[in-house]
Amino acid sequence: MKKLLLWGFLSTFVIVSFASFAQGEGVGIGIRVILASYEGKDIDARLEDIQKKLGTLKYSSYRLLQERSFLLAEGEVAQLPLPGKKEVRVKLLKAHGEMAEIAVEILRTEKKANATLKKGGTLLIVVEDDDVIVAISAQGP
Amino acid sequence: MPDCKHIASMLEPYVDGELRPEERASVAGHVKGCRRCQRELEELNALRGHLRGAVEAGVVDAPLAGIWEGMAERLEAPTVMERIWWAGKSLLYPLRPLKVLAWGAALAVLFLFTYPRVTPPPTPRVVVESVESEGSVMIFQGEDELAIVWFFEEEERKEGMMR
Repeated sequence: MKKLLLWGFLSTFVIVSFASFAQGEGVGIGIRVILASYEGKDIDARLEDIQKKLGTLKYSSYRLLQERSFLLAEGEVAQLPLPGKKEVRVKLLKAHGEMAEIAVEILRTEKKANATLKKGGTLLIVVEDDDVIVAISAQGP
Repeated sequence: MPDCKHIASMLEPYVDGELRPEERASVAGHVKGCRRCQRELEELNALRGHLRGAVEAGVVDAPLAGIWEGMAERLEAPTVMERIWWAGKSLLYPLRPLKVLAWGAALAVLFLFTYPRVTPPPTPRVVVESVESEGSVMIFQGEDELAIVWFFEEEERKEGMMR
């Protein structure tokens, strides 16, 4: 009986340790580049899941230019091109539990932002110069 | 032969049958030859007879039927609440105080560990920590799942960006 309890305890410890280790391996970060406009009322069907969030803005039409998902470890960077020869760079600063601290930078500008994302949360970066929206969301480990 | 004073002190136990056989024989022998002690013994017997008669008469005349009805009322089937109470009590009966204490402590520990998990403090799913820009910036922090950072081209266009 004691042996059974000991094995049970050890198995639980190993599983929990492995789960914690696996959780620390990477964080799923989804990046979408959206071109917004005050003309027309078309909303890209692929943006249906964030349509309500985009409704907070005063643009009337939205077109998805690019969508990528990245599995980032701490210190790793994801980069996507933006209209106007710019680029968005997202760096995972720190991941703890289901929280991810990220640094967002619009290259060739001085625009930077740091944020903490949790699974299900979305950060919208609106670059008003080019009517570009970068939607960044945490997708969990 | 024992004197009357000594025999008088033994008369009451004699009537009650509490004397040893030799004492009883001694008292009986003295009483036969002593008129005074004989009379005293008769008076004592008469008194005992009166008392016994009074007690027996009282018992016979007592309302036994009423007493029985009262007992019968108490012996009636218990109510539902009484049954539940007794069932609970019989279940708890085997538990010794130490076991009850141990169970209480275990439940308290379980409650302490689970309570914070059941009611976690609400935290937003996205929080903007800091922003840098050469131009104007506006931050909208949603209640839960949304945060927006606006990097504006010109100061004048800031107004009217939100619905």
